[in-house]
Amino acid sequence: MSLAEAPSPSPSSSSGSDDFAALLDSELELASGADSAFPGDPSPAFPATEDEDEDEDEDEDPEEPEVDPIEQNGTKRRRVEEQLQDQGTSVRPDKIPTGASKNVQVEACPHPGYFGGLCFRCGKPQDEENVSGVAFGYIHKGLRLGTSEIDRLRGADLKNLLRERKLVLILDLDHTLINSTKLQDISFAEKDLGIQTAASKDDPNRSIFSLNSMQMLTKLRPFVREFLKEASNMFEMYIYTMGDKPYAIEIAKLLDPSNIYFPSKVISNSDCTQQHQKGLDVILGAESVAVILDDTEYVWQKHKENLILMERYHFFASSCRQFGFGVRSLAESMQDERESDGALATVLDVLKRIHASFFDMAVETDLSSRDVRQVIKAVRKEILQGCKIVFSRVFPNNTRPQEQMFWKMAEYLGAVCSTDVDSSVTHVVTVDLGTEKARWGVDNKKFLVHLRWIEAANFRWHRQPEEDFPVTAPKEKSKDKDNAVAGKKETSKDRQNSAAEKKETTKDKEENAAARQKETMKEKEENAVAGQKETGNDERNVGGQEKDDAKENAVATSTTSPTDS
Amino acid sequence: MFFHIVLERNMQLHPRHFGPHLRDKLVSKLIKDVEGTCSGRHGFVVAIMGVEDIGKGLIREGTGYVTFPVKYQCVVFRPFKGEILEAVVTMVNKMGFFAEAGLVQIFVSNHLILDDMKFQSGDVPSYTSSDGSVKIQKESEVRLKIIGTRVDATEIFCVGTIKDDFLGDISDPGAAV
Repeated sequence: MSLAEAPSPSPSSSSGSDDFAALLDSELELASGADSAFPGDPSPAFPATEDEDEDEDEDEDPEEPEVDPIEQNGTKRRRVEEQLQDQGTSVRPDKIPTGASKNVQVEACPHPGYFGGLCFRCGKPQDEENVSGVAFGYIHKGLRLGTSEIDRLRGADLKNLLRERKLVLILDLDHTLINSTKLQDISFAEKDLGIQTAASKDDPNRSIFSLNSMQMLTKLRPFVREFLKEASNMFEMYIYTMGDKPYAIEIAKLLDPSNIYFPSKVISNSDCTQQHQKGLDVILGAESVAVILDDTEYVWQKHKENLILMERYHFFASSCRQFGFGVRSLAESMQDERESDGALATVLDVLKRIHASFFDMAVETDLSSRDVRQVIKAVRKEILQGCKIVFSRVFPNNTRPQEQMFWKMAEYLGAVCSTDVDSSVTHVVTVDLGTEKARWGVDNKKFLVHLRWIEAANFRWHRQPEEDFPVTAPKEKSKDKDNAVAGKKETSKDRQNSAAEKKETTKDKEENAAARQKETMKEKEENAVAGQKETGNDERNVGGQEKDDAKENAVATSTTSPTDS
Repeated sequence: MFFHIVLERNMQLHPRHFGPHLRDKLVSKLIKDVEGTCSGRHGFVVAIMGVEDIGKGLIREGTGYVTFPVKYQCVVFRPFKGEILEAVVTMVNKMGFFAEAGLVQIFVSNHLILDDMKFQSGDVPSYTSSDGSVKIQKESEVRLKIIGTRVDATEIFCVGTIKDDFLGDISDPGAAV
């Protein structure tokens, strides 16, 4: 094989070896030292042979000295040998063999992304020091995409989604769709009730499963299967959990046995780009159509506007203990959230409303410029629309009421808040009957409601009947709290705790927790003053459950994002 | 591409295996250790064909282990840049598809798929040509060209293309894209 006859695009092939040698010298001088990439002429010969059996490359070597009798022969040979030895590495000459593959423009390759460290457009290895883009390990190991490619994919995806009239839904696992516990953490009461045996039954429609490889039990939240089925018609869904990958994949298999809801869309803690924070950067969907369903707000600092907070699901005792509740869990009391109007059913309704509102054809704006965050805000503002609220003895005197959480929450829900009473006020929110404003409210036939009424509205996405949240006289405070249990948001308690406005004691919290978890909380309801209706209590319970107690608990107690195993 | 080469390795053997079947034990240990592994230079060792030579064993100082240098013939598989391979598709998504050729994972990005082929999502995601004649989905065989390889400690990653002549789906022999 003569180098002069090598199929090369450059014009050296016609001249004799001297000219060729001179050309080689000039080319080699231009080439960088460390990299054994041979530009120009000599390379076509080498790639052609390099790609063959190593043995054949040995044959090329003897030809080298013939071509270049000068001392640079030594360097060239060394380089050739280096190159041969470097077969194992991925350092390759830039030159792509001629022919049909001219369409791969090496010089202009924008390196849209990398697979296993190689640009998947031109095959060049990734620059070690300059690691850009986001890793998408959940799609396939070793995949990494650059920001421009991600944007391009997001844009294309958005078009497809809008055409199919779908939005993006990101679901958390723990305490939102399921509740897991380690086998060793099962309480005695739960053991007695035979929870473990229930998990090993063969019925595919059961809700308790045991994950043997991880020594855990998982309980699916009531209504979750129907929820997923209905949501999949309106949303492209992702699972995003702070648990680790094997756990996430196991749960995904339980929720989605035929792999139609979340194919390659299970994101776990190893995919997060920031520690302890979830982000939409690993999602190949546009932010403007993403709705997040999670029980913890803390992990979504950057995307609070896309978030719909869910009430935590505490089925197992260990879960209650983790959040500091001393009450009996749902499992221990052999009870469970109702399917018909439990947390998932309520949230499904809200999602339907958001979806309908987004794709409402009567609105003038173009679909692609709509933002689901605006829709969420608008839907939220309808909840307490028309209410004007005055707070009494809710906020400490030295703080600005407008910056308090409940004030802001009420405003997000569409109410107008004010510090002074006047005739347009509709509700007086207080915890104590004895205040001036409270008495004024009673005199003027205004609604006198407990603070938790606002929280209930927040979690149930619906204005609650005011009668369910009465304010009782101070001496019956504990009883009142118990009633509150019927539907009290724990979060409010937690929030207050965390905000250091310790209005309620831990006991109350516990009672609320208990109340939350029960659907038929006969034993818990110490119906005294308010005359709670059974259903009202239940609703409140569920409502309370839906509130993000966890959020506040998280602040008050431990982890913000419950990670199991 | 597959190669049949002779490799050498130092095998350590515990004295409990010494006895009439020393050679067999050595060979089986070699097979267990080496088959399925990957090295940067040689690629994946697919199978050991035979043992050419077992040198004299050297007792290590301080322990009773004996080191034997073993020369063995084996079949290795190593992908090269520019090589054309057939592979089986394992996953298809909007960024391209992942295929497997033996133990080698290959990714073909949609930049390197003919513009004619569009991604269809659904129950069975696939890349389908505009006239519907060619469909690349999970478990289909494709012929692709490797444009880059990279060896990790235990795996080889490759990036491929099907944007050339005669590459793409091979449902019937000799079919061209």
